[in-house]
Amino acid sequence: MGFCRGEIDMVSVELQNIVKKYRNVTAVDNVSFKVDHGEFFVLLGPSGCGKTTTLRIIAGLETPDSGRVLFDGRDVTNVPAKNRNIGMVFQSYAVWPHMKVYDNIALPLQIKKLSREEIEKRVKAAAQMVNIAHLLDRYPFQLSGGEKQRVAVARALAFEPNILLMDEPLSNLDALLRVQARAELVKLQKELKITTIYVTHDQTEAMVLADRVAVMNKGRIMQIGTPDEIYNRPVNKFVAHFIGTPPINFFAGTVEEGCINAGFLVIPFKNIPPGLVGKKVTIGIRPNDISISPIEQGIPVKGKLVVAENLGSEFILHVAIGDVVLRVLSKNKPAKEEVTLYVDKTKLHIFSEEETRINILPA
Amino acid sequence: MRKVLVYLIAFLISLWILTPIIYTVLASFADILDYYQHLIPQKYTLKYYEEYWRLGVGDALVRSIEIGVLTVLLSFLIGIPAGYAIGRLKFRGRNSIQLTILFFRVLPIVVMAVPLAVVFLKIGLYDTIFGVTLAHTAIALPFVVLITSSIFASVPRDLEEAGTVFGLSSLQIFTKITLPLVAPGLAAAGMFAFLISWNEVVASTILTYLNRTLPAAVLAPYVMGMGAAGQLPDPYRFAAATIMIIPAFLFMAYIRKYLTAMWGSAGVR
Repeated sequence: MGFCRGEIDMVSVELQNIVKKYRNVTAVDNVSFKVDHGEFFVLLGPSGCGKTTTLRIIAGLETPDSGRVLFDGRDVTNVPAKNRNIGMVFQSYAVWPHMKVYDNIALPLQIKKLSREEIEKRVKAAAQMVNIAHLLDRYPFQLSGGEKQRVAVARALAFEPNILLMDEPLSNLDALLRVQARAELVKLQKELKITTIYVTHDQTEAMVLADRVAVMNKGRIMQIGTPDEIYNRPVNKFVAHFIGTPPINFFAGTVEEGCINAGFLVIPFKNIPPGLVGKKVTIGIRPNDISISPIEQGIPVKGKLVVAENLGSEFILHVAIGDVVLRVLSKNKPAKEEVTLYVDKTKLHIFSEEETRINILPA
Repeated sequence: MRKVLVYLIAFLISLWILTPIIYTVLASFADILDYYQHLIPQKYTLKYYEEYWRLGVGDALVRSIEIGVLTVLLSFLIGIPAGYAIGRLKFRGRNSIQLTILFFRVLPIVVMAVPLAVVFLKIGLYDTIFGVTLAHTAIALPFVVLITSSIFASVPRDLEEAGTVFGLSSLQIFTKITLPLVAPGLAAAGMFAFLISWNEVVASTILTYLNRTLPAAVLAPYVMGMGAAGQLPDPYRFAAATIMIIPAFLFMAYIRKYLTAMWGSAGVR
């Protein structure tokens, strides 16, 4: 067994109704999900949403107040962390400063009582995999942040864990390095096919890395789905707002017979349930679903250009229509102040007053 | 050029520190007449050391080392758990306990020593190594607690948690991760405790009569017997100082390697 030979024990992870409270704060509130064999699963949410606590519960570093943790159907809720065969990459990397890189990777294997040859083989293979083979003789303080991060990953891989847990492993790297490390992580995970649970507050990271994403807020899971599902069909206003850059536009509207009226924009809808008529709703549209040139499903709206943010390859246009300012992602900047926007009516997201998604189709 | 400057400054500082020490050692071997005639003595003698030896300084030296080591052990035994608790755990009254520990340093040793002598006489600890060790431990303990608490507080929790995740038992985490990380701090605390005991003279003088520690024994001729203080020729004092310095030097040199472990404080970025 082992990644050196291209095979690894894949384990599924299931959380059932996990609750964790600190004094009077509920950090994790009835969280349930299942991560399949070999899946890359990302817990995404703003700071303080309970994603790290959830990860620590899976690792066994925290004990849930109620609920169960299952590895391959086996209840491990009360199994101590050291017996869970988990590899973890910490946000701070937690590379032991008094040991050389080699020993950092080797110590967990020595504890496993592996033979000297096996340890050496695994350390070298793991180091090779993350391109730190030339650093094995260094002490951590001689390494850069990116190199330390790789040591942390190598340590976790050499351990040949059943599950790989990562707690914001890229958040301490600078922007360029982060993009590079992200791409390497995807490649690595696809090669190794190791069940991975990854915590981040960076939605781009989640979109790039994940097979599936769980969006968390205030200790609860808002939505679980593929990056596409989460992006295209957010179940509530929070998810719609949290995913996507630049952020989605929201404006208010009222449901009428056969249409939704937002004042400056009236959108005809099919199959509006009768109970909905007269209700207030929030309408969401992503900046890249609005165009400044005519498109097939576009509804034209006249507005005035307020600001154009230059991103280099494109612009974020801020267009005022009465009281509402819409952000529009556009390849080019319009010449005149007066612009006509084309709002793609198939890409609208309608949310109820309770902020949950209403599934209706435009006519 | 800059390097030369650095070396020059280092040399001057070393000179500043070493000159009196070297002179002290040199003068302690000087023949009395010669000492008063030449700045750098030319005739040497072991006379003063022989006389101190006759006065039992050899035994006192051994006793001082014993008491110093015992003080380190005892103050570690009590102080490290306390330091760990204050540095690592969160509990009610932590700050007031920390303040109370500091407060004990406000009491002058003389004030403490005389009543202690009375108590020790009653319970049979007077003039014993253990009695002096107890007094020295009381003096050294606040330092040990303060130093170790800040050392334990500086070990990131992540490093220990990484140990847990990667299969280490609590004991293995302590011996393989926490202990190596705090070792330089413990060495510093041990050094402090030893030197406090080594240099302590008031309590040692009051709490012993025959079984003097080194400083007490060296001081004894001045306090009683051999003429009034100031009557002894200078080389005697230099010899006394040398006797005090050398063992402390050796101890420091030995423990120094723990202090300057190469990943030291500069390592944790």
